[in-house]
Amino acid sequence: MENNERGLAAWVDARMARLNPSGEWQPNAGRALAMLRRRARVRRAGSVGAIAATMAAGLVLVALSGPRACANPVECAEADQAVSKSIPSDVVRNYKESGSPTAKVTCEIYSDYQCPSCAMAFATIVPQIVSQYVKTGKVKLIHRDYPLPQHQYARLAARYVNAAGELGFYDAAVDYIFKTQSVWEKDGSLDAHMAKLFPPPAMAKLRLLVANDRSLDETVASDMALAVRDRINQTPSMVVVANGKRQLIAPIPSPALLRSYLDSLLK
Amino acid sequence: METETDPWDFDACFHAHYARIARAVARIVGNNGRAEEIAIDAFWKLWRTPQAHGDRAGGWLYRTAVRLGFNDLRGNQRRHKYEQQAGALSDVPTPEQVHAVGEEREQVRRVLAALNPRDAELLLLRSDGLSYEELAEAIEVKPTSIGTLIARAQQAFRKEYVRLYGEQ
Repeated sequence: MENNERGLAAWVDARMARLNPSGEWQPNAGRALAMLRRRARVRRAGSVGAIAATMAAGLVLVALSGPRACANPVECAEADQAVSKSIPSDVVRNYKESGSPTAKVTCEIYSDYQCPSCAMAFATIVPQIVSQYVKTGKVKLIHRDYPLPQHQYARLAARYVNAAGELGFYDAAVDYIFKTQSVWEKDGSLDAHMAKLFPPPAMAKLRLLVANDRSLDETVASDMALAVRDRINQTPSMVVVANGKRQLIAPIPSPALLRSYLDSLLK
Repeated sequence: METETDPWDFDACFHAHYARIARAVARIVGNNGRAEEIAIDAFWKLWRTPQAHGDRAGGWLYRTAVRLGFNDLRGNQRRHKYEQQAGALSDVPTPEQVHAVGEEREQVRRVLAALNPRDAELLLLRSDGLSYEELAEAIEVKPTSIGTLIARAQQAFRKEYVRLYGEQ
């Protein structure tokens, strides 16, 4: 009888152990506490509407373990400052993010480096958004990874680009990888192509990161988890975040239509 | 961060329990970002529940966070079922599928979601390393009852597991 109970306990324990995470994930206590303080401040202000909006914004914020978006930029900036204190200064935090952190509108673009339509979007539409909205402080841009399973080298490409991001060369790497897509997608020669972009010392660092840095997978996993919530099912797709709401736009419309939409949100 | 009505040290409680609670919830929901949201929700509830403040706040937090986690898990499973019935996204592999954490892990989550809430909470918290005293505090029973309750929960788990997946 006792043996049976022990056997049952061991059997259950073995199955429960399957839930143990495979990586060493560290919950971000600094960001969480900042979010709680923000909720508390809003509650003290006594505005029921503000509470609802902030809680919704808080959920969105915390869901994004990498880049983050927020309905209330001022509050978010405060939260970010609190978080940044807990992050070592030599870590590049949000290389996928560009533009003003207090921008009223955020555009999040999901792409796959082996997707021809994504390469086209990054050659045509994205530069227009960057020059007209991001550099002018109106819009914040976040690039998210969504490597499709049918694309053999898409995930590896994301790894190289994100490693370049950690070294401070994200935009250059994104641009180069998309421009050379038609070449490296034939044989996966990403390393050889990146070696043309980076001088040898930087390339050596890049290779080390690509080989060893688990956070490169985590940032992709984080983007893809968010993609589930955003119901992404094609690339490229765009999610526009404004007034605390996330709006999926897929496929990405023509530049003229997109401009019209962004302008209406910015009014 | 002080509450409005008592001088109890919320920040100390937060730092003592947040990481462990977030990890426990992550084991339930299988998504680190979502786990942090749920952990924050649990602390938010604690902050707004003065009667839960004090020495027993840890147990209260575990219970609340794990319940929120299981509610989220069950909600997700219902939504997934409806989406499948409706054929939503059926022709496109979802990121979830691409990033599947493994069928065995999902099997365990499905079984836990099907158990009665207290059994699931007990098994999850026990496997998370809580002592009998901590378990008793978390699910609000006498410490002397914990052994029996765990044994029952294990039997229920095995029964449900075998029902869904057979002897493995």
